[in-house]
Amino acid sequence: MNLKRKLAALMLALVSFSCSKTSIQNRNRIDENNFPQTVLWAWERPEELEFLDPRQFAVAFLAQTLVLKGDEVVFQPRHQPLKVRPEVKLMAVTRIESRKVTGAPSALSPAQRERLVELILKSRELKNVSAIQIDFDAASSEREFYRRLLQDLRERLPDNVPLSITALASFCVGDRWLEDLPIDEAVPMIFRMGADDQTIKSFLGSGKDFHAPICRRSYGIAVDEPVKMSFDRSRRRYVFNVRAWAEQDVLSLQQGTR
Amino acid sequence: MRFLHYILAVAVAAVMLLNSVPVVRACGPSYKEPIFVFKESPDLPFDEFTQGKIGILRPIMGRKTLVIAYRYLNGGTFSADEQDALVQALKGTAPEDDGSQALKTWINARKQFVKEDQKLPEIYTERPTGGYDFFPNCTKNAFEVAVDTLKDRATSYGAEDPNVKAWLAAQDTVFQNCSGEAQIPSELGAESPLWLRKDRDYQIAAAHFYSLNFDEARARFEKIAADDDSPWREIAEYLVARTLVRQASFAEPETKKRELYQRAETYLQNLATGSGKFSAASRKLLALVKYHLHPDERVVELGRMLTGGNDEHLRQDLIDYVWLLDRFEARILKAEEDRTKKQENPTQQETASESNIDKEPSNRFERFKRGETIGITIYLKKPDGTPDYSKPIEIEFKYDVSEADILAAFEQKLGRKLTAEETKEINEGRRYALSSRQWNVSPNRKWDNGGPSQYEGCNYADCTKLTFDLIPAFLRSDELSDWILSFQTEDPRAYRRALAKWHKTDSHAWLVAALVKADKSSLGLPEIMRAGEKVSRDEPAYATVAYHLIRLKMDLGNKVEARKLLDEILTSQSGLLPGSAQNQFLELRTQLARGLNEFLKSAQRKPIAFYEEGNLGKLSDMLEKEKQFWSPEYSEKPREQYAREVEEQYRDLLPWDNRFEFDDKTLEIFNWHFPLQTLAEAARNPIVPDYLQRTLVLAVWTRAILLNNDEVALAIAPEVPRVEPKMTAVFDAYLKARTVKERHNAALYVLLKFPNLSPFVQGGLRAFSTSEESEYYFEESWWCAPSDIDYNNQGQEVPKVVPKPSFLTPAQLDAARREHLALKAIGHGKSYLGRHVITWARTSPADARIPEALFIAARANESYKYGCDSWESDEKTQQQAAAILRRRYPQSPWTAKLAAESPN
Repeated sequence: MNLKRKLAALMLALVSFSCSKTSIQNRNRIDENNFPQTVLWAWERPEELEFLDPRQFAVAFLAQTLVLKGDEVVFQPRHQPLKVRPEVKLMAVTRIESRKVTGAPSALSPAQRERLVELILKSRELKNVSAIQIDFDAASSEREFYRRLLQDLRERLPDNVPLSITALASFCVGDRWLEDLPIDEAVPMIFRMGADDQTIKSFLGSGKDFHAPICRRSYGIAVDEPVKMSFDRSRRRYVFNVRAWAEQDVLSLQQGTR
Repeated sequence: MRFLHYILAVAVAAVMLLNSVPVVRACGPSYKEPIFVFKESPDLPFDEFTQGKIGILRPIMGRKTLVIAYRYLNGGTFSADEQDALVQALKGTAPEDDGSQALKTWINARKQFVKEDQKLPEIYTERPTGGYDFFPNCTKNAFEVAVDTLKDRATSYGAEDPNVKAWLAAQDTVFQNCSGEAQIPSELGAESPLWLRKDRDYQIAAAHFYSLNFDEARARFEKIAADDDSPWREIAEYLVARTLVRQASFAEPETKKRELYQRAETYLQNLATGSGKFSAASRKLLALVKYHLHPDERVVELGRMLTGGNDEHLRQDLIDYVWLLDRFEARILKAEEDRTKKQENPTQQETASESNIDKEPSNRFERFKRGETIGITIYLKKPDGTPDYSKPIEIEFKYDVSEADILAAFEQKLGRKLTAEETKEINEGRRYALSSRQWNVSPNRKWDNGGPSQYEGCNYADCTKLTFDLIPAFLRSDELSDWILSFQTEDPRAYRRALAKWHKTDSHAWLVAALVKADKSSLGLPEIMRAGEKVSRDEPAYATVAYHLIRLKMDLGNKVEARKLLDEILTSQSGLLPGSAQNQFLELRTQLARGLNEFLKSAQRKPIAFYEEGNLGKLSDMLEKEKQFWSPEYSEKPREQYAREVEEQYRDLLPWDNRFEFDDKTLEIFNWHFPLQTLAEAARNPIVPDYLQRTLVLAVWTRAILLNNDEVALAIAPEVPRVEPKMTAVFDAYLKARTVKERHNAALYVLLKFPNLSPFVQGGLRAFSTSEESEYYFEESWWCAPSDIDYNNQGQEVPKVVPKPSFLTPAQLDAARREHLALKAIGHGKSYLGRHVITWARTSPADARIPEALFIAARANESYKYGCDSWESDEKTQQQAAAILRRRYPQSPWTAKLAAESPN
């Protein structure tokens, strides 16, 4: 191989190496699984959603809360009924809580991580669940643990099963730790943002977009918290309601009045 | 070859830059926010509140809080045990133990009777209902009884007895049903000992109970209950009722559910009145049955029990009462919402805001619901073949239109033939739509919007509000419910109701309600105010009554009387009031300040707690919590070293647990309406403690520098190193400057070296670092230009309004306004400083401080997530500063440092 070809091969290899990290994120299994554009979050309250049109709405329901306490994982399954039609696409959400809630540090041990993986995989056994979402406000010291958890999950999930996470909007504005996570989307939650509220809303209201590419596939909004920004309609939207979903709420979503 | 190596080096460097992880920095501010008033709950800890120190009551407080307050307002009390239970209720702790500890105890107990290598059972206490939810199936008591029985049998017959082992094996089978399955232990024949057979009968019944075979379980428990020789007779009697209740909770339809609850009610009424071992448990279960069967009666019954006292299940009853009240309110409001919508005439009552809404989607939705039409949607494809969700093609059809006609309609809309994929998609869409229509027109479908869902309250601005005409008679017949709903409603008739009830009862509860609802034009105001004046200071109602008397006096223009009462309270009640109440009185006193001294005295408030990242409490509590965060897996330091470092971080913070601060409202008044001269006076006022003088002094000096007010700057300058010794060395050049230019440059350098300086008085516990200590990372450093915009509850922008203290003269207010405009024009601190550094560098290139100043200016104007405009920054200033540094001072270590830390 002459010098020019060697150089070209080297540059190609280097460029490929540079691009390889982003190509992991190009795939979106949620689209591959034909999830509709709007996903309603069904949280820990009785939800009767049999009126939903499965072509237009999917449901991400809180399946369980797993609490990291000391060196244990406390399993708190859903306690409120959920009724949906069998055609509706379902995403089982696992909420993980740790020291922010318990006030006590967690061991963040490999055994805990394995336990979490087992319990999260088990949530797929619920009827008609075709995707998984993790809801974990990981503190800085917990991020490495979370990253490894997501890697373990991705390895043990079937290749076609989507893995989604929720993300604080501030992560999506500029934190880099979301890069290279083996997930299909990070849903930026543009509600209940606490101290970041005005900053993020001003940021989005001025026409800016989330910096993290993985956050540009969806939005997370709440029906009672308006956000003045231009929404990209090609992105999936997840919607949270402060009360159980009623038909009128869904109609209002369709009309865009909430 | 050298050329190749050069290319290689460049390429590798480029890849490394593209893929490099930036230096990890402390992410975002960690700021301990002082809290001065808890608006919706009692002050922490809750113990004082449950002991009767109820402070100033607010209608937005939670209902559990108001129930407790109501008893105290009416002269009642709670025992020490009851107070403990109420504290747990306020904390939201569930009354029932989750059973996890009891389960562990069982696992450990059985270990002694099995081989070491035998696998431990995995027991989950919750079982799926068959849908997506779980319920607690095996509770704490089940494991406790199992432990006690195992120990007893082992003691009686020996741990190695094969019958004891058989008992254990059967018990393991029972507990397998906790989280699923239907495993039933086998029946025993006459060859087994009697005790084992009796135990086995009970275990079999329990296994059926846990595997949801309720009829079988109940029949077996009834048999055991009739067996005088069974040691399980008494518990089995109780478990018959429990089986009925558990079965009822799963039963459908509603008629079947009610029938089972009624059977349970009859059964339990006998058990509850007896004196047996399970009579207390039976009464508790009966309460649950009443909750389901007779909610109207139950809420009234609970209201009376919670008011009267002597409630053996106080915590559970308080929870049940509030749940029922919330549920009734939600149903009332939902019914009213539906009724209003049906009655509305859109053409006459359409408001301006509604006229822009396209009603067609709503009308179409209604046609779908009625089954008249169906809607079919397809999505065109993007060039890469994936659906383009931003371009739906939707057509509405009559439900009985043929497949062929539907396809033709789409072809007409698209203006072309359909592809095979599109045809398939349309046909699938038709099938879904027809299936939906079948559901819509089904007679079994509930049209009641929301159905049995728990309506947890409405946060929308246009929500229906609870008014008196909506409250049903049975709720108004209960004094407690009547009071709570009247106290909390926004119905303008609430005042009249409270007044009438106070006339009738002469109770403090209704006097408080009337005063809270009153305004200066309220009928009968003088009378209730006179009554309020008679409430003595040791009465639980005093703080609320006094607060509103003062408020009303102020509204009526009686500032002298209001001030007098406030001063009496602040003197006599100091230390006796809850912190929130104390601070609310001080807030009123600030509004009545006649001069700077009075303002400053009442502006100092003691935080009742601090908040940081989900943690709420005293700083000393936060310290202890943070010391626990050490993790052997992730920490590089030994635990002792970690603890020492944390203690060092908190060393300067801990005194603030007992210090006063300025709250946000006071800070806004300082920053908006205090001109520089007045702020300087405040900074030197001996009423202000030295730790608060510090923040004023630093703000005054910085503001004076920015506004080019040398007179004020020089006058306050000697105070600066006194209040912040860290600044002494750098500040010395400013104090010793002989010319205006020298002084200006020295001031600029001081500002650069201490990035926490700001022309605005700041609150909270902020670190004061040098630029070096902050590692030249200037995320939230210096100041942001003041904003004139605020946001209302609907998230809409509104002009910011800060109340003006009445003691400031028009001249002072005008001076403050001009200064505000000048500070606004100066803009954000980083950009301002950067521009001035560039000018300084051009005019004084030989000044030894220039390279460092340029470095700071360049780093300050980089892009930061939490910058004044988020990621936006003054790129031009940043690039200019960096360019001057590189070009003019190529050998300076600051240039090398910039190159290393900011390669771009």
